[in-house]
Amino acid sequence: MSLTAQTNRAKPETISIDGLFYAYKGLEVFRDFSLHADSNTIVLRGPSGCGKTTLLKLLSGNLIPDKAKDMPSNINSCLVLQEDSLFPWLTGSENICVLTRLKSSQFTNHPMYKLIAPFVNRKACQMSYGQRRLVELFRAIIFRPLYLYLDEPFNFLDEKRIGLVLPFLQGEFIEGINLTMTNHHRDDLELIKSANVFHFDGEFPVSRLERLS
Amino acid sequence: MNTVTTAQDTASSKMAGKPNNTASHLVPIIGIILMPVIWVALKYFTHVSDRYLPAPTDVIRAATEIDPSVIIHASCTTVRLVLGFLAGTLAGVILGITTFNSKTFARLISPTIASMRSIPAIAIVPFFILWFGFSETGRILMVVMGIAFNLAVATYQALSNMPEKHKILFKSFDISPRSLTWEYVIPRLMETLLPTVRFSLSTAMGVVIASELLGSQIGLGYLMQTARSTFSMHVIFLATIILGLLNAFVDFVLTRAWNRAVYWR
Repeated sequence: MSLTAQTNRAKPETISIDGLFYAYKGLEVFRDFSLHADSNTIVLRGPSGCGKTTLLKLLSGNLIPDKAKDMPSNINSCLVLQEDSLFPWLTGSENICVLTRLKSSQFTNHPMYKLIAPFVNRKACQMSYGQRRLVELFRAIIFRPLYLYLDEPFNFLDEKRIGLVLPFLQGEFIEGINLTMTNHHRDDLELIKSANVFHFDGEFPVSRLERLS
Repeated sequence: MNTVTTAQDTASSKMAGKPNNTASHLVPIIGIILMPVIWVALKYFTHVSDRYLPAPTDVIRAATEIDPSVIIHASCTTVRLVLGFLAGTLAGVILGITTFNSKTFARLISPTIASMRSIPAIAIVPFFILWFGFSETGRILMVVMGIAFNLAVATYQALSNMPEKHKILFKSFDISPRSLTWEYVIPRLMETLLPTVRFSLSTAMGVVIASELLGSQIGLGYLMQTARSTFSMHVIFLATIILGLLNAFVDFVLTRAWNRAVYWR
């Protein structure tokens, strides 16, 4: 299985949402919500608790909308939450192999592997949060879903590591992937500058998002 | 000079902030000593009859007079307990995992498990004595029956109520947790089942003693039964104390071993 562009792969459509309604335990989060992107990279910005993660869960099929006229398919989508979800009893390498069904020889040549090589054979419980984050991002990128949803992907990463990860979230490494990520504390990332950026203002229910770029 | 003073101040303030280790070690020791002290006080200051409360010296003497030795009785009970507990735990966990893995099997077996687990463990003893007589096989099967169904339900619940982040993970990578028995299911159970397993250990002990009370030639339960028939309260006390210590020891070993196995927590 090639870990870069796959020529016979279906191309993901840009995100288009119409008429989305969703309430969470009595709180109406989205009411007749619409969003149309013209880029395959989307950044959702906004304060904590404004609905960004909820939208990612709805897009990835982990939450079922109450009603929606148009939603992208959630088949072949992968959501990486902001909280650590590696199995602590497995090594980083085992965490990758078990979920992706790839052998380690199939991904050790990936250019991003060198970021995790120094610690990937440790048990996840022996890694720092930043190291676990890198392993999770690597795992999601090499899995190559059609729709990749990253919730606060740069959590626990220092400036240097963010700079090292960024090239793998653009260009050939995500060719054929529709990338949607949330971000609430970094405005000057090059990736963000080239993406469609939508802003949550924190008011409920959400019907529209302000488009910043 | 200032540096030394500062260092001493730091050490003092650190000591003041730390809990008193000597006191915290003394408390459980006091707890252990308290029961015998109350016993001795009740016996020698209130003159309670031997029929209700034997003298501690009589209990200690009984330990040396019983034939076969009380150690042999305790060993037999321990072997039955350990074998029955291990077999019952394995059966319960396998049943729980099978129920989780197969929805059809779950729907088929759930009513049976729900009704079987509500039968008190001690109530099944007469069945097994009639089916298996006083054999060791029957005794071990009694323990299995007594604990397996509760463990099966706890196993099923632990796997069904997995954290949201794991559900999202499995959906994202299009993989079923049912296909990851050793990579996910077993470690996940290790994280969550200890309280139920410890409770099952106590239940197993109860079933073993009940089976020995009703039909055995050796064991702590047999010792209590024969002591009852000869009004030997000091022997009953002895057997009960040994049972309590045995249970505490096995529970301690279980908890320590389990916590070592769950090294990632």
